[in-house]
Amino acid sequence: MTSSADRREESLAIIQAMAHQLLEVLEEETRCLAERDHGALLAILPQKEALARRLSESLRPWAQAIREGHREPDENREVWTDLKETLRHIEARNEANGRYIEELIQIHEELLSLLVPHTYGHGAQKSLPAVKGYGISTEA
Amino acid sequence: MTGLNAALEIGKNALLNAQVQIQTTSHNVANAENPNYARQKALTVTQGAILGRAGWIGMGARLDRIVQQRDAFLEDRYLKASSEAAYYDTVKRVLTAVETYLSDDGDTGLNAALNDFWNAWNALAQNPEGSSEQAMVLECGAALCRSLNETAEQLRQSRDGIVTELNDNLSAINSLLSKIRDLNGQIQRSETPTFMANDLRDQRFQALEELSKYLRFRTEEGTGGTLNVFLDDGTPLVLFTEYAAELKMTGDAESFRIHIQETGTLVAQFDAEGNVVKDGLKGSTGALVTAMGTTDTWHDALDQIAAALVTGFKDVYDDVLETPESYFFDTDKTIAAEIRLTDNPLPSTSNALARAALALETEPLDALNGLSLTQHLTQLSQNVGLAVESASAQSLLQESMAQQLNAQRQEVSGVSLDEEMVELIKHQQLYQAAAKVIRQTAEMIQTAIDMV
Repeated sequence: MTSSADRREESLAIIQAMAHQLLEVLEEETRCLAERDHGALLAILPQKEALARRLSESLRPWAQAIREGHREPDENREVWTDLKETLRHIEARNEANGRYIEELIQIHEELLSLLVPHTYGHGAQKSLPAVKGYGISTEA
Repeated sequence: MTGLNAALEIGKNALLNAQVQIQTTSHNVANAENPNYARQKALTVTQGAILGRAGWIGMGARLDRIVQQRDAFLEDRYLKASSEAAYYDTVKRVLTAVETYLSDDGDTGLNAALNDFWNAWNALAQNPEGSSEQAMVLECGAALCRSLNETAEQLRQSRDGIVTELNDNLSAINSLLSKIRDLNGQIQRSETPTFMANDLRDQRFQALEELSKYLRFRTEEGTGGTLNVFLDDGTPLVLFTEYAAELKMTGDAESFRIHIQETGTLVAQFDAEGNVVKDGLKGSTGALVTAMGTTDTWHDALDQIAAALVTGFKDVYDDVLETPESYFFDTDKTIAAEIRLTDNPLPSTSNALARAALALETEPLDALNGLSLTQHLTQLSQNVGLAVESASAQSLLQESMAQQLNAQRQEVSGVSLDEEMVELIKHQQLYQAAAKVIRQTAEMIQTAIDMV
């Protein structure tokens, strides 16, 4: 028969493994972004999403317990410390990747706005007059 | 001018045009390896026709101007990405160097010294009268102090190194800003509304690219081909041909300010005491200011450990010995750089004293935000590792972004030897054809003369 503490410990170990796996996926995402390996990037996105969702769901009861005033689990402090550290790494890595993706999108939006003036929009807007020579200049 | 003379004139102009085009092609080929060179092209336009008996008769072609193949959008984006890449690369470089002082393999370093220290107290708790146990506590205490002193000294040296590097950066920035202002002047003097000073513009772009490694800026085209350079917050760095800012740093590794000499505008600031880190520069210079702040935070964390050790042991001695002859750590030296043992660290020993001292290992301390000494040191190591890893990831991505944008820029502006060879053959054929036109026309003129 498994005790409650054992079950919690086991559950914590599973969450820890999941967090490590997510960190690895995020590191792979960094590599894909840096090497512009868009095929591989698309392939790992579902895995990343699924892992993140599962991790978030698994952590919810623990977070709830700590919010309600329960102490952090004593029975496996090392695992808990490692998990918290891994979660910090996940957050930092995800933020770095997200910032890079945002910047890439911004560049492409700016590039597109040079080619296609913003003439679409809701409301009673008059269409903009055609601007001559509005495009990428190839001369200095 | 009509007739054969006109044909001769057209042929001559075509020869001259082809010569300039071949010269431009060879100029491109010669600069093919220069990444800051933008490919040039000699454009021709149709010469104005004249009205003859048969109507408007074409008069050949003339050179219009020599243009550069540039994309302002990509260049601007590339310069920004270059600044970002330099920022994260510098943060990574500096923090990685600092990490070596704070990293711990378990056998050496602060964590190991602290563990040995607690182990020695544990042994003393088992045998309070044992002289070897007492000697071990003193030795491990001294080793812990040495370890804290050395780490603090290494961090101090790192900060001094950052200040030296900052001064070097500022001197390079000032020189580049003056160069850009001077090039603005040369470009303004050389350009006409039609003719661009292409090669001077290349030199200016090269200076801008170098500048982008040191700080982040934006540019605005001024009159007469000049380029004005501003910091992100709008502080002018170069204005037309008149002004180039001079950045100056005052202070030392504890507190410094970087400001514009002429206006006194503050662009970056660091103050260890007030925990002020202001970076309005970005690029590698801003990164140094940021790294200075991070290193200082880690230094503060070390000082907190030192202070907690001194205060913790003082409280233990006060509690257990009531009126101790002396304390374990010198209570006047509460920072990591100065912490040391007193001349008589163990005025008396007892099991109670050893156990009370040992309890400090795991006791949450208010001075350490509720963490124990060991936890606080572990957290410091983790923070250092995380900061370095985060900077490394950002550096990798930003470097990739800069490379990507530079490659796109090169696609527009770079010299393709294949294309230049095609151009060369085309102009060579054009030259030969024009020469043939002249030769045939001269023969016809001679025939006409002979007829007279």
